[in-house]
Amino acid sequence: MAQSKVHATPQSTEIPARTLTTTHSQERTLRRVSAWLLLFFLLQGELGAVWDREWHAYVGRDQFWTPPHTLIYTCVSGAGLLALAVVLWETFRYRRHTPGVDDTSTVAIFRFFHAPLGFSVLGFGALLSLISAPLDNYWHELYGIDIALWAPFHMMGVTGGLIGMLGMVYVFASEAAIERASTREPRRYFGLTALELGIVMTMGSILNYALTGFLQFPIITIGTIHIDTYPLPLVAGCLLFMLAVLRSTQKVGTATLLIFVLMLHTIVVELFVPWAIRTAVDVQHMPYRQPGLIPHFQLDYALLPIAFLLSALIIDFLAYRQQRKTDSPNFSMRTTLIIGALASLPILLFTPFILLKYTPYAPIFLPEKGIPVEPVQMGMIVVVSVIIAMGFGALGAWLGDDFGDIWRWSKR
Amino acid sequence: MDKILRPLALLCMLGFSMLLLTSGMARAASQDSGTQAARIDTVSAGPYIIAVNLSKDPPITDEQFDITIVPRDASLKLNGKVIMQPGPGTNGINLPTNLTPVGDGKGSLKASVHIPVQGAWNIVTQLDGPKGAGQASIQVVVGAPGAMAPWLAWLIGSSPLVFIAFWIIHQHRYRQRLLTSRANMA
Repeated sequence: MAQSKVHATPQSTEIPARTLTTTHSQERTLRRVSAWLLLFFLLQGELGAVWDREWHAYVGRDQFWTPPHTLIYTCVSGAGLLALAVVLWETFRYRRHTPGVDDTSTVAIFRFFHAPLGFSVLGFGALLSLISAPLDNYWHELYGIDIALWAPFHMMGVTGGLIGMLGMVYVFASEAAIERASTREPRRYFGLTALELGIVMTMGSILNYALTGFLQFPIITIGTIHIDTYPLPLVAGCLLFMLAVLRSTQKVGTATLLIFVLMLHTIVVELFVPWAIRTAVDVQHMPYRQPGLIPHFQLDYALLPIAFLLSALIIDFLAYRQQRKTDSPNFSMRTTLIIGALASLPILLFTPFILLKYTPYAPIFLPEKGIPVEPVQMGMIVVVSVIIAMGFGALGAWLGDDFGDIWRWSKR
Repeated sequence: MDKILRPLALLCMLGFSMLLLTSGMARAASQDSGTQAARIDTVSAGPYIIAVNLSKDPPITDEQFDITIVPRDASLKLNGKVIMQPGPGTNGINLPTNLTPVGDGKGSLKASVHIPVQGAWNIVTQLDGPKGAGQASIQVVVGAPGAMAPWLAWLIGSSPLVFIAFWIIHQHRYRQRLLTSRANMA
């Protein structure tokens, strides 16, 4: 995306101050109303994604237009069309030299379109997801209904969804940055403005999205020991967003708040999804894949975010100490990496315990049944696995640092 | 010259009209044949002898097709359902659809169905009537579009990951630039 350097809004010598204020306020209203609408679509898609995963398990994919697919694709289409509308409208306003729509508040795309960065990224993600839909259906037609996350066009759809959600964080973050720069003091909830809460909610949705597919991560086999890799996306994702939310809001406590928001998501998901499957099956007179295996509320999945709570508390505590010392909760890069590596340990430790009844794959290390394992070999595998997981935690923290700062500063 | 060109043009027009007419007739003929059964199997479903008519043979994945059940004894008032059952090696689930009376005076029943995955499937007909319940099954092999090479599919499917990698690098450099300019200003 090239960044144009020449376009600038005419200054107040040409346009009366009142007009400038009005148009600026219109611009803010347009972007903020769109942001909250996008958040609504995101929550809808999030429910659809988990519903789809469970539909596959309990009912089976009988056609493309299953109820969860309908929910997912109305979300993707709605968000995509909204992003497209905003991009086109902002391009029009940019070309008309509307105050507030210039190179400081938009990015250039293909040298023709000029739109806020978040909406552009989001539109691209939604487009990718829409393109992947018929291709994914085609793949199912060829290879069956149970091809899971690791199919090419599932990956494409999932990546598109992730890009779209990151776009949403940019949308909320840029508006929050603009709001901070204005003289008006906004209303605060839990010490955060509504737009900052939007950032936290969107990040919570992204983490919930990671929870949708984390158990599909592959199992690596070394000798007679199988190693689950599902903690890696959890560790990297959690550390990334815990540090990013802290840096982008500069508020101590937001890492813990993020985990509570995530828990709210998982509870709502568990309340909705089993009920939705039972209702849809009843209405459509469909059989369950395994008669008698009917979905119900599962407390262990609903409370899974508790596994991340200690890490969040550690990060917030350290940020609190840092703020008292330096007046800023930001850590140096080296400290961030160390925190990322160490804060991944509680996640690694608690997640298998919480998931113990939820899935037989909960234990990270699964030795082959009936074959004795050498303690030295097991010890080596555990040590190496923990080091890799800590590396993922450090990587997540490093990305959280980068993106957190950009989301703090970016007004585009 | 004109004497040659004019009859040639007339001949061309005539040929073109013939071509249009022929293709139109061919299309009409194919549409007519579409209303007929593409495959008929006569089977016994318990006490009932029935003809199972498929409107497409082979059925194609995700394309709707009709199954019509015509009992040999037209006076029987039958009801029931058809179940698309995945055959050996096919990854799918049972897909039941209720049969509805056609009202053709032959006691026929009909269901519009689709099959989502290619491969071997059984079409199981379960009937209920005055002589009790009965079940029959016929086998079909469902066709699918030609397969894309897996490497190509993965290339297309994983292409957005390149975007994410590029984006991370871009944003990292952007942040470094911002930090440098802030440091210079300070």
